[in-house]
Order: sequence, then C-alpha cells, then structure tokens
Amino acid sequence: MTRLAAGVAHELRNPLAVILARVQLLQHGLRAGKPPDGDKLARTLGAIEEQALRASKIIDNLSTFARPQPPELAPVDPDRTIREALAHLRERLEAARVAVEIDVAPDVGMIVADRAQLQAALAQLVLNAIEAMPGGGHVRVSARRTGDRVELSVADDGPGVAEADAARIFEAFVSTKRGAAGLGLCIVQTIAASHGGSIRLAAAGGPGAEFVLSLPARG
Amino acid sequence: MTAGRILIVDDEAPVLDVLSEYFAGQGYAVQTAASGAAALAAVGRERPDLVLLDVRMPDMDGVEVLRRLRAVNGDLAIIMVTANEDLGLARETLKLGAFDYVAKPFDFRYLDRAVAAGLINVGSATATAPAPSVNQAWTALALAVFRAARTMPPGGRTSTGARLEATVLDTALKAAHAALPGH
Repeated sequence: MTRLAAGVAHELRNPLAVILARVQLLQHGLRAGKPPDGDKLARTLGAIEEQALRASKIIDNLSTFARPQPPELAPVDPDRTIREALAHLRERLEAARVAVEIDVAPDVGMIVADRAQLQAALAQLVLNAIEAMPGGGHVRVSARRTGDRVELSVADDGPGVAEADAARIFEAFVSTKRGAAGLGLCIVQTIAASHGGSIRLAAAGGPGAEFVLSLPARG
Repeated sequence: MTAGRILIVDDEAPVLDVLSEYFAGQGYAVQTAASGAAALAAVGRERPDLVLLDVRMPDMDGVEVLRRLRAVNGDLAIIMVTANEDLGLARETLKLGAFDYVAKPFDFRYLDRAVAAGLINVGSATATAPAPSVNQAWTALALAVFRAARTMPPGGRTSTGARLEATVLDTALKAAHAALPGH
C-alpha cells in the first residue's frame, strides 16, 4: 500500500504542479496589473482543464484498481462486445490514423463475463495500442476458442514491449510511456482475475505487441 | 540583454510550457529539452548559464544527465526539479554538483531565488573583471544565506527564519545581480 500511495502521489504531482503554476501565473499577472487577453486566458484555462482531467482520470483508474466491482456475469457475445468497445474509441482511432481489423472465429461461442467490464478491458488494450503507434498503424482484435476458454487478442504493429519491461508491465504505476500513470494494464489484469481469467503478453521484444485476454467460455 | 540563459529539461510538455512562459516573462532567454539526451545536446549548442533539470525522466534520468554535464562543464548552475518523495535523492544530487533542488508543485518565489542565486554563483565564478568590493560582499552574503537555508530541515523554513531568509536573500540577490558584468 505504501508503494501504491507513493505511486499515486507521484502521478498526481505533475498535473497538480502544472495547474498550480498556471493559476499562480494568472494571479501574478493580475497583481501586476497585466491581465491576460482573451486568447491567452483561453489557452491557460485549456491547459488547466487538460491537467485536471488527467488527474481525475488517474483517480478514476485508481478506484477501479483498488476497489474493483464484482463482475455481473452473463453470457456475452465476443463479436458484439468487441464492436461496442471499438465504437467508443472511433474518434480516437480516426484521429490517431489507426485502422482496425476484427477477426472472430465462427466457432468462438459465448463468454461468461460482465459486458461493461469486458468492454472496458478491451478498450484499454486498444488505447494502449493506439498510444504505441503515434504515427498511426493497424490494430487487430481477434477472438478464438481454446478448450474451455475464449481468447481475445489485441495486436498492434508498434515497437512492441522490450524484454526488460515485459516482467513489470502489469504492475501498478509501471509505464514505458511518457506522462502515463501505468494503471491501464493493471486494471485489465484486475478485471481478468475477477472473471477467473488472465491477461498475458504474447511475446516480448517486438516489433508489434499482442496482449491476450483469456476468459471462461460458456459451457 | 537578457537576465540569463536558462535550459529547462522535463519529459512533460505541459511542465515545459508553464516554466518557459514564467521565466521568459521574467526576462530570461529560455530553451527547453524533453529528454536527457536532448538536454546534453542543447547544453553544447545553446550554452545556457543555468539548467532546470527534472530528476525523473524515462530514457536518461536527471541524475545521469547531471553527472554527464558536470563531467564536461564545471561552471554551469544546475537546479534539480523533483517530487517531494524524491527529496532524499535530490539532496544526494548536491554532492554530485547540483547547485540546488526544487520540489513540485513549484513555489515560484523559491524558484526565483534559486535561479537568481544560481546565476549569481555562475557570474561570481566566471566574471573576469573584479567587481567592486561592496558588491562582492553582497554576492558572498547572498550565497551564504542561500546555502545555509538550503541545508535547513524543511520545518525550519516555515517559521520566522523563512521570512528573514527571504528578506535578506532578496536584498542581497538584487544588489549582487546588479553588480554582475552587463547589468
């Protein structure tokens, strides 16, 4: 818990530092009789809002991680859930020039899962893929049956995960990205575990990264 | 003539933006670098007087950048920027040649004094023309007060001592800064 608290403190410090600094600069200007013009004020407020949203997102993720809701299990159609998760990300995908391919095996069957939580887990994996490819690229989301499990895979053609990082990427507050809190994969792992499933990195070293979410299939 | 050349190093663009805006507004010539490697290149290219250097960066951390800068440039004033939980590490960087450290969130009044004292330190170390003795005394006093305050435990700075430190230091820095060549 101490490590968790230290991680939260560290991740919140940068957005809060920027918010406080922006407010102090505004106050400084006002005290000096030099209020900002409209454009400048809009930019400053935009920067404050962006950092406040970032801090808020960190806290949302932390709540999900620290107090996961028990899943409401029901039979879930993988193809439909994948499409719903991607629909929420359409604008992000377009803005990042990331094309998506969906490949669901015809015999995949149903998963026993909490649909909203599964959507959130898939969306997180796709978001990670988007962020791994700042210049755009491809994401392949697939589903197939393996024994009594359904494996949902999200693969990208970004640089992949370095061997040295592979062992730690599921830990809280470990991130290989700038400005990232390092909670996303941790949350996916929490969701997977609460379903009696698992998440793994298919192969380290790259190029490309593939994460496989394995969940119980229905009977 | 600017008040001095500052290089700000942080991997977070919003932090670079707000610090750049502040110091540019204070009359400094400001350059930025978003990584340790970029910082090393920028120091060679831009010849800053002072570097504000973030400790935690993903590719090369600030401590390593500090080591490498110190190996090639003994005069450069380097102020480490850190989070509160890294203060132990920040104190260690003083032994490696950092001039000071500041914590996030920023206290601009302290940051102002640290930067001004850092530049005075550079100026007093590199000035070729002898300054008038009264100004040498101001410079020495400013640096002595700054260094003494820096070694105080954080709690010691919240009492009357903090106001005294601020008053003496502001006066001494103003006088000493005015005495630097070019001012």
